[in-house]
Amino acid sequence: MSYLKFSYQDKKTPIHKLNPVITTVWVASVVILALLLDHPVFLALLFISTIPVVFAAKIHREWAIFVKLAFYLGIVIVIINSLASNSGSNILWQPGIHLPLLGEMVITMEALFYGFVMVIRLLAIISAFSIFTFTVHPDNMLMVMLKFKLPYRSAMMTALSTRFVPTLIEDAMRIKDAQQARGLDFDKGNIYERIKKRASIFTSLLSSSLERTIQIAESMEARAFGSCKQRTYFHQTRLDGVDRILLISHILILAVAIFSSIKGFIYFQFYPELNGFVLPVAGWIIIAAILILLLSITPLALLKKRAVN
Amino acid sequence: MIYLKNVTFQYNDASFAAIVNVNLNIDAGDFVLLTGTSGSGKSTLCRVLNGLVPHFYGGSISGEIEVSGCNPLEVSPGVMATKAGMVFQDPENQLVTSSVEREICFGMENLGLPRDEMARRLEEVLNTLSISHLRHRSINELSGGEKQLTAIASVLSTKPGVIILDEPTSELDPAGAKEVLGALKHLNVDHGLTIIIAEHRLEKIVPHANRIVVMNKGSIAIDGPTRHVLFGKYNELVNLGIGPPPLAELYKRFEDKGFIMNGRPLTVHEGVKCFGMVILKSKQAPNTDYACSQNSLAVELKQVSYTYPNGFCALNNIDLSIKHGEMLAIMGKNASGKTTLIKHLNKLLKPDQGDILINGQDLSSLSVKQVAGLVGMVFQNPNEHFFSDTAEDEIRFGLKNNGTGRDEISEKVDTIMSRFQLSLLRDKPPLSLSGGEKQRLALASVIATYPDLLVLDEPTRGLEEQKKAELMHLLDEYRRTGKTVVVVTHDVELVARFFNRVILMSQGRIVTDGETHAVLSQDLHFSTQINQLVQQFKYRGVPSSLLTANEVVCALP
Repeated sequence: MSYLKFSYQDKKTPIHKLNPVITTVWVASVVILALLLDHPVFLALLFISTIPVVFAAKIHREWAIFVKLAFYLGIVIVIINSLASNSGSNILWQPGIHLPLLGEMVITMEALFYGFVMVIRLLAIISAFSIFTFTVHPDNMLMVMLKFKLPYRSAMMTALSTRFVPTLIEDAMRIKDAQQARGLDFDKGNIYERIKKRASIFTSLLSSSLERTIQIAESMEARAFGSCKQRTYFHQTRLDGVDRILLISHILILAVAIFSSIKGFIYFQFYPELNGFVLPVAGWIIIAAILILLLSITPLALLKKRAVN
Repeated sequence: MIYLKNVTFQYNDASFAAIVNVNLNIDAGDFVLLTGTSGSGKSTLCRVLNGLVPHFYGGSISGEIEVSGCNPLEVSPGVMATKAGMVFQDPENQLVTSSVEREICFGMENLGLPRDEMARRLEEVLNTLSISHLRHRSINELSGGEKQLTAIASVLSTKPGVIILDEPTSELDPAGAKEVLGALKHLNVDHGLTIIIAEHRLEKIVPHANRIVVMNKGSIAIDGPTRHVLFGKYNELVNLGIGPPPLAELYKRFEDKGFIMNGRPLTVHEGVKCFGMVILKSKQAPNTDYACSQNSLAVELKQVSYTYPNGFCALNNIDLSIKHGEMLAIMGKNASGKTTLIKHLNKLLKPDQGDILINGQDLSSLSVKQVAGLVGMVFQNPNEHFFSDTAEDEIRFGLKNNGTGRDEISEKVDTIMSRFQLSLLRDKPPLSLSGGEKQRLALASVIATYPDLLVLDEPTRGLEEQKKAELMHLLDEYRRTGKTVVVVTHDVELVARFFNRVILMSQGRIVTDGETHAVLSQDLHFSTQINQLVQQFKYRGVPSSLLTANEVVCALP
């Protein structure tokens, strides 16, 4: 069915075959870098550097939907930020309207620009997350969480919830069909009525999910879940040479990024005036190095053909 | 293997004991069929055997229990997992990982087995159940039968001495059920594993079981070897509300007529030998002329085709007309297009090509509300129907939607509620009702508006014999008022007994459409046990269209 393409699918690309620990670390690096550094050029390049991976993993269709949603959300961010923040000094528009809570409406260039940079940051993060969602098998996510020493029970619960997403969607579709068959027209009525009609799907879904939860718990208990202190794992990830290189290089990236942010090599100021488009040479070199390291994941993935265990 | 003495158990919030004074001894290598109507305590008994009751559910238990040398009350569920494995009813709700291999390893991992041991057992289990080809498949892609086989494999990997299955086939289509039962038989016969299977439909399981235990109101009512229970205790079985297998019914009917038979058959193969001499006397063909009293068309499909967005062609040029007052069964394997077809009857899906007329009105010109007034649809899971706060409102909704006057609504709600025995439950929230009550309410809420066409998807799945008959009686009553009833079902025995027209679908097409006897007697797959038996005597002049035990007996001189 059509909704299935919104969860993991093994497309058998080199990216899908990457060690899940590496994919996770790569995605985490992008997210941390996006949150750590403010420079608009850097953020834009960061977003662009995720695109080759998306294409190498052949997930561009799914990715496009995520990015489109992020973009709409971005428009909202820009509007709210321009309205809410009046710290900038270059006033673009001051119509003299008094807004409740926010005070007088002032739109400044700095606030507008800040909004745009936020959107680029959001795009980079969403793009990285979509790579994670679509190329790491849900069970491997569990394995990665264990690798990072997260408690097994919580990791198992997270993996379980991903396993049941398609089932829940199927349930919701069936409930909607059944209720529509009884004459409940989901597209008629005012907003309040429509929300109320849709809420009835959730009530039904909730009660079936509760029943499901008990049955799942029972079946886990019947198979000795949590009975042994030293649980073992059949599937294990081992990091080979290339994986180690990737892992170390990512730690390096993050260290350099933190260092240059403290030292002010890569610095950008939004308020009261935009400042920092011109970076010291060291700043540009560091940005280039970070991006090259991030981009190297695709060719390295192509180089090695190895599945998890 | 299993020893129970005076076991009584009561759930914490219950006012009476779920099982009362149960005494049971099961030998190693037995294949036990545990049966009884719903609420008889068979599910609870299953859970007592592997410690889920009382460890998981709580409650108070008394008596002596020993399973594979262990007392489930004293050891942890972890230990019990290696003694008594448990497979549950719904394949969807017992698989917790997302691939077959991981699912099979789940129990072993929980037990902390070393990896090389897991690898060894994994191979062993995959080979034993012949599911090596599923190894790397994702759980979401499996069929129901394959899911249950995976669940069995996962349980098998912890090497229990006994496997307990609680209605493992009731959510499956016949093909899936056959796969699962075949695997169980193999485990029992070739590997000597003890199997206990709780189930209320007997005919598919009795050939494999060497013992039947019948429960009633929490106690064991009948216990004995398969043939002894089925044939010797036939009347008791029927009185307890359990539908006997068709072959046992035929045996009983013959016996009542004073015939002597060559033995007591559990399979069609044995039936040929046991009943041969008697069946040869059946010469009278069943009444197959069937004419519908009315001639006006309720449903008309003209060259309807539908392809899902993913490219799967589910309906291919369907032509179908159904008259008022007809009751029609739609049968076919999974993915043959049955569900897609009925979804077109109330506009849940719109055809890519072709026209659909209900009562002569083109569906495409009607609103959701208008369609709901013309076509009522009951889905398999009653939970999905409900959206109101009380049972009464649930019934009221359709009437209000229909534009029925206020006084008339109250009157109609009262009539319907008492007709469906729901009067005492008016103010209860629908989701809090019991399974049977929900089923009645779902049907009542749909029938309340008196739709011209009533469509039901698998209404008898998991329903016991008596409830099935009640439902079919209600539907037939409705049909007699000049309305049309369409039922999608896998249940051949049900179709043979209650329907006079059947269509068979395959790969999005209608392959056969006609009178029940004509259709079912010419199809090897969709045929009743009795008909398979009768077919063997066709060349000796026995009418090959006999479908049920009753028809065979009536055909005798």
